[in-house]
Amino acid sequence: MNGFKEKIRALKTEFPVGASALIPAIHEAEAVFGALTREAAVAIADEMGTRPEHVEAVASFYHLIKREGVGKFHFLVCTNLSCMICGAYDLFGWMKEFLGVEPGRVTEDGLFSYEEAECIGACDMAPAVLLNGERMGPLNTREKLGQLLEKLRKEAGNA
Amino acid sequence: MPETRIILEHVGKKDSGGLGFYLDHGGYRAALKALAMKPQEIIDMVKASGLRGRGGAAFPTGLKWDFVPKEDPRPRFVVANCDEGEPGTFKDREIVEKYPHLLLEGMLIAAKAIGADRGFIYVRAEYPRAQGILRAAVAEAENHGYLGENIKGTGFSFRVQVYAGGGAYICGEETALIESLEGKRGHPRLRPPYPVSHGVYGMPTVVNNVETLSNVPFILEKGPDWYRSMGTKDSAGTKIFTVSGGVKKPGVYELKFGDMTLRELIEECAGGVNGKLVGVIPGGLSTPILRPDELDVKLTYEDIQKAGSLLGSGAVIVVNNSVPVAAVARRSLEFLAHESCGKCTPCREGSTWLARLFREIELGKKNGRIEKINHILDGMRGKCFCPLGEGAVAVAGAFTSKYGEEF
Repeated sequence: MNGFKEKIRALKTEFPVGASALIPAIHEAEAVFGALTREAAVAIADEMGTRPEHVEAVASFYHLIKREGVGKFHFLVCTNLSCMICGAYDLFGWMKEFLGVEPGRVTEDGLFSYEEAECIGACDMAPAVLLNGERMGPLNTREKLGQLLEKLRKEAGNA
Repeated sequence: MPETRIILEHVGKKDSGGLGFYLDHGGYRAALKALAMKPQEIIDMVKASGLRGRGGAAFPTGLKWDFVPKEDPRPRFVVANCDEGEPGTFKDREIVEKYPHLLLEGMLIAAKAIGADRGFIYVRAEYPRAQGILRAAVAEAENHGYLGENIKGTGFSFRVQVYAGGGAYICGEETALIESLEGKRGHPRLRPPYPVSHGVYGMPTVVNNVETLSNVPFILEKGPDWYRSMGTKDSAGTKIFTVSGGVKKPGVYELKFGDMTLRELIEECAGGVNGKLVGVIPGGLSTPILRPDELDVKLTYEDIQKAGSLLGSGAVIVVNNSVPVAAVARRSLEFLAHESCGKCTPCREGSTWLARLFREIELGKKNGRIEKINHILDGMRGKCFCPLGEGAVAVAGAFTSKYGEEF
């Protein structure tokens, strides 16, 4: 936690006004702890001279800030217009079928999680996903998704 | 009429993202020229070019710069808006991922014009790759003296920081973006005062879209007359369109304004429609849908407005018969309800009710729903705090008036 706090202090000096470092600090918490945990919010609040509730209140405004841990492979499945037109709801259904968990939950082996997302700016590869932040698509058949998940499983096994 | 690639000319070529490639293709020449000019001369050039904001609002760029108070000792800021959250839009992604120095050069020219020594690029959370590329490009430019202290010995200094958003559509609205940049929830501010006088930290701030700023180096280099020679009187230059949805060749297409109609863009550039054409959303999800018989409209701000919609961000979403149009309406309103920041009641409650009513229509419960929708629209129209709510009114109204029978 001390190293994390040090990083927050460094972030504060990068901006003309220290308060601007709050969202970068939250991103740092996601990178270090996998999510904005309560402990991370307390540490950020300490360094920023505010309350943990304020940190959490700001974080809760933003849809992609993780408040809970996700799988090793986390999918954001876009179902906005262009992806929907190209079959995103089928993709979302296959996701559930293959992984056997509800959106927002992590598979028992800790490998996978997924959630529905608004436009991810990958409309030229619809239906598209963000897999740990990387664009991927079109995932327009059941087979393609199955193969991708299999590949990721192998990758995790070899690691 | 073929594409006219000016901004996109080098996008996607081998190593197009690097500084070496950029300098080999004339990069930073316009900025060095600008650094030797008087700020007002730069502003006058951009004003004369007729450049308008490419993020959706189409406000004249030079005028925005000119509004920054001149005799004012406060520090100023340039902010590049790379929040690009309008569904269907991915043009700024193409620029910043494949040709990032063009944006940095545009920002540097803007900084000289308004006297800013700090700049931010606000990049949406969905674009981590773009964030990394931009951070690397900023570092590269600093290492070679094109950003940072005393740029190329001119005495002018400009520092750029990349700021990652958190996933909120409303942060593309410039005052919400500024709130977010200050470490807050992204609620829009009441205007006036406008950001040009009270922006980041209450200081004079110019917020421009990525594509807008990417036009600026070309205007400086080739002059406003050259720029004006493309397009129409009210829509000068080129525009990057992103076509997606039910088309054969979704992608990014740069055209002179007015060179093509919406139908030609879809047929000739994007390879035509998959399945049966139901409608086209011409400027991103928040712009009213056009029916198949309304597509012979020239691609300019003024022509699309005359046709009852907006050119918006240039995101053309082609709706085909793969899903019921009621589902498209429902999904559009769900998005706007989801992204409503909750600050004002008409938008927060209204968009939620609209989404619910379109969902009911989609499920076949049609009785009295259109009347209810119209009643809610009356309660929202002209009463929302920012364009998100007013956009919801226009979008929902277009679906009910144009597709009432299909519902």
